[in-house]
Amino acid sequence: MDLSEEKELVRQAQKDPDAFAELYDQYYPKIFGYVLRRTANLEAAQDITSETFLKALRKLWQFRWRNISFSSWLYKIAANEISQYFRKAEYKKSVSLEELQEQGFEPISPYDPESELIEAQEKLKQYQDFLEIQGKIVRLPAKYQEVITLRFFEQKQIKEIAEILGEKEGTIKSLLHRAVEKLREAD
Amino acid sequence: MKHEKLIQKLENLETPEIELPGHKQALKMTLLGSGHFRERTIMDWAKILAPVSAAVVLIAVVGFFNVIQPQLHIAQAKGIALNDPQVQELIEDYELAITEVKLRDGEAFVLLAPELEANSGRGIFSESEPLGPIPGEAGNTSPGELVPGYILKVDLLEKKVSEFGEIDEVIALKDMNIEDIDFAKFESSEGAAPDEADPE
Repeated sequence: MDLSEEKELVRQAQKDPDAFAELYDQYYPKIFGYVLRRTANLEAAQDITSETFLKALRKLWQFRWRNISFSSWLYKIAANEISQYFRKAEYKKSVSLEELQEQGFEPISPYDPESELIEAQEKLKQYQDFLEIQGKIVRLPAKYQEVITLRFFEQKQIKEIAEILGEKEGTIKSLLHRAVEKLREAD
Repeated sequence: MKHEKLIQKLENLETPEIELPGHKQALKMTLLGSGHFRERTIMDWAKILAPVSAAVVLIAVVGFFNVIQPQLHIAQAKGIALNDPQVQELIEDYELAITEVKLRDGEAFVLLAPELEANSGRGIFSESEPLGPIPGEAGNTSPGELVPGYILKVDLLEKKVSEFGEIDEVIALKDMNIEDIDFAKFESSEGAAPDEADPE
């Protein structure tokens, strides 16, 4: 999908549920993957991803293609939620699916979350190199964690990282350099 | 490990690409099943109607204060003047009529003039003897003297004619310099002492 097509889809998604569904299908894997690679925790990744899309849905009518692309906007929401997760001892799970259902949000088809999680956790264990590096990254200051994961795990360009984090490109380059240095010292 | 080697390691690192299809589907259905899109339509209308309503209210308020309220005051001033017995006498004696009402600085000015002669720029000669002194003034007219018209100053709060002035030339109030009018106190017969009042 090119930029103009995505702009049109985002515009429609502000009012049309089908358009929102299409946007969601496109971005769920990216956001879930990003959150998982930042947290290495599947349960947290579920909760944070749910919260991200709920906030995106609520704020979608405010979104304007001005200073930031839709993708960066979505990543920005996810990054903020991840920061909250790391800051608080207990992440506020106001939008776990169970709580959403209590608030009257009804899923159409029930699923077995436990089995799905167990299976996914077994898969995650296979990525030992990743888990080792990720374990060191999470001990870095938050800004360093963000730039390293966005650059190397999400393959984002400097410009996009700057959009997501709301910093200048020069700042991002500088942060990235220092982050890698810090990680190297921790190695 | 050197800086460049670590960067290389990070770039080549195999990262997990795990999906939770059940969670993805459940979350999607839950989000779409919320009332968000209905609420948004209502909000859309609210966003449209709010400025429209505000504009309508503003126009109504401006319209009221600039159009309706002045009209009400003009009608009120006319009514006050016409209800005054002295004014009624003037109208009857000199065949005058209220030809115009003007509002200015919270006061109403009523122009009494011969109806046909209003705006003609000419006065008329009184063809008969004046019936008596003009209210509040010692008699100062004589037969044949020009009596073109009067301007009455109406107090809308007190609901009475408070002052009056003679005009030599009947022209539209808008063309008249009211500051040049020599107003005198207008004493209605309602305020006269009982023994001075007309026994009838």
